[in-house]
Amino acid sequence: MSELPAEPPPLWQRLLSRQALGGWVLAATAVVSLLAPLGLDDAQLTIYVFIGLYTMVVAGLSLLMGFAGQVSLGQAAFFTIGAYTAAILTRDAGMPSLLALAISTTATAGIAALVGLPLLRLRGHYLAFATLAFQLIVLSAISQVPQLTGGDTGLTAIPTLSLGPIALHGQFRTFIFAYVVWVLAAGVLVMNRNLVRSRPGRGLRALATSEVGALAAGVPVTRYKVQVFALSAGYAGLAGGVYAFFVGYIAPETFPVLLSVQFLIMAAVGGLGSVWGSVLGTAGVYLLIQVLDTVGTAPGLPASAPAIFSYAVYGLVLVAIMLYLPQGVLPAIQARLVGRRAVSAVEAERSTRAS
Amino acid sequence: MRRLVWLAAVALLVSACAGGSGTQSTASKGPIKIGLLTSLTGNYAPLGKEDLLAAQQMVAEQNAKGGIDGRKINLTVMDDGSQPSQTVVDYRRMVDQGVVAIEGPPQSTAELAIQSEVDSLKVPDVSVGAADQQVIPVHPYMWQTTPLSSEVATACVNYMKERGWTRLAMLTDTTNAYAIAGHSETLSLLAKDGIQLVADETFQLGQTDFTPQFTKIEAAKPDVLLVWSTGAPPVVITKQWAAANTGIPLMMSAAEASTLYVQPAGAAANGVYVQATMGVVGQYIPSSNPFKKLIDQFAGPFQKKNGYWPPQFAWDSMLAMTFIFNAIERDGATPAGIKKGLDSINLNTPQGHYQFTPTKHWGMPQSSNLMSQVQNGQFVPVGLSAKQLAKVGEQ
Repeated sequence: MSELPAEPPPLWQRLLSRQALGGWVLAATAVVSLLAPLGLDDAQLTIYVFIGLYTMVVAGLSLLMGFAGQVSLGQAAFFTIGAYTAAILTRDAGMPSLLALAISTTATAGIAALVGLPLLRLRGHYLAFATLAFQLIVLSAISQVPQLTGGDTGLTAIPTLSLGPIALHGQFRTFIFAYVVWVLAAGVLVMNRNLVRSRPGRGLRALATSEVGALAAGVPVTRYKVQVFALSAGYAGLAGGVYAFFVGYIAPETFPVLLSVQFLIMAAVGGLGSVWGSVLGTAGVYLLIQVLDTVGTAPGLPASAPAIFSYAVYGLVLVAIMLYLPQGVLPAIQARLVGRRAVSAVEAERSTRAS
Repeated sequence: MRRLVWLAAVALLVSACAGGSGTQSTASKGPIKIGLLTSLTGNYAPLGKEDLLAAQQMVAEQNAKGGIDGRKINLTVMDDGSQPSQTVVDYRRMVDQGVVAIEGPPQSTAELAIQSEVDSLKVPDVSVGAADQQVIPVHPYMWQTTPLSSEVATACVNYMKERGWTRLAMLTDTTNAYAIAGHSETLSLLAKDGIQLVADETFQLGQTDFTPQFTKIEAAKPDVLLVWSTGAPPVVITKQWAAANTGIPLMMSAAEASTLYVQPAGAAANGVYVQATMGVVGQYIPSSNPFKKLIDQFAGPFQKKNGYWPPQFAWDSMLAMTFIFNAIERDGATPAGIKKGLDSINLNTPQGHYQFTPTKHWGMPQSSNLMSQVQNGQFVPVGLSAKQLAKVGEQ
């Protein structure tokens, strides 16, 4: 017979245990990020909004790449589709912005599902290039229908986010946007967390390790792949829609292939497949770019300084991270904590045996 | 080593917070803060570099004269990496740092991206890029130094008329907003001037072999081939057109009036017509022209320091600083004062006589838009007599 279940430790002990540490860090991050906008000026709030928006895209990409094992080099394409759909629906069709946002998110996910059906039959490099090609096609298509999309000149005067008659204008516009984006990003992250822990989540993890194995174990491989592709695209579409409302102007040049690469870097730095790592990766890389920009253009530096800081130093930092923390920053921290935990567990067992 | 990486990361984050929190000073004493929002990395870096050199020279010269009203000028530079989203962040960072007026950015997409920010934060922006939408309809806090695309097209068509060329072929980059605008403006001028469009070919950025288009263009027997594009394609087109040896003259728009085009195109560019503004061909403007002295005042030190005649982008940047300084001198170093000053610019510049009004925020005179021909890497004005050149730049 099995042993009797041990008496659970008292609540305070559980709250102070190493297992609960993650929860505390999470709660602290949530509180700090919720309070942060109160102390930020307008420019910093803008950075905050962009970090939030990019976090949503990166969270999807991290899920797709790290968890489902599918590659996307064209995630910015879905960001673009979301932005254009939301912009055209509000600006030209006069739709309320929240409804437009919902439609643009769904439409982006829908397009991704359609595109994903043939695309996700490819693997590895082929899939990577196909997604890259998809982004180029999207940008090209936008240029070709100027009547609808404004062509290369883009769409100006996109309405801002509004709730009924209340539109986000004036002094507190960026401040409120910061909270809107916080809520959306938090929603995306919680959804990811729940997905990862669910049955489909386990199926996805299985298919990332071995598709044949997963198939044999009864995981509906194709369906899951397409679904997670559509979900990640939906996140990007949502972020793109909010971007359009926030900036008020979009053009194909706003969404270069480089943006997709940047999303990929953020996901890799945070840790592919790490739900909370996407926040850390996005914020870290985005702030790093801001810092290098500030340092590179500091007075008294030579004209070559911006290029040195934006290319060479940026590259070196990324190389260093990939070299020393190949799993990404957050998984590396977690591994260290778990490692200690494992060691202490072994020690505990030894001492029990000794007694 | 690992610890070192961590330390570096922490140091970066700390300085991020420190760097971001600008001092909010709109003090009326101390240096006047002027912003230069440009692209020093990414696709538009070649333009941004010239913007920076010219702006730095202007600020240094003004400070050597004692600044404005006894206050030195402090140039705050930010690099948007050629990414419009970053331009939005940078515009706000500059405003938070107490900048009273901003020059830039050179990329038209980036200008339009900051348009709503400029509207709401009300810190004047003098743009150095070409996009008609930034000034039409007028935005109260945005001005531009460059001509409208219709004015560039007019200069091209005027020269064709003068040469008696009636059969035009156009080759247009359909992935470029500037090129598309220039193409359609040219089309709208043709009928009036009795010029016939005999070939209208297009291509997309990234194309490297233009033989298919050239075959059709040559078959149409045009008097001239006008190319609407920027960046790398015009260089490739120039080389392949020279190799095709059709004997049909090639004409480029103002975007190619720069060493960035002439140098890589090399000998193939010899004889190519390039639409250029007065400053770019400044070496050939006679001293009887009232603006010649102003041209030399800027170009002399620029050439001495950098080793080449200022290209288009340097002139644009030079103009932006000229206007901002002039506005501050007349109406004070506050955003509202500078707006008032910019709305009433009435000034002789190396690019001719500029006039801004509250409803017209661009102002290069049509006569400053010239036609030039490349000769040994130099832009030499064509189609105008010495007497006419002496009058260039007048409204």
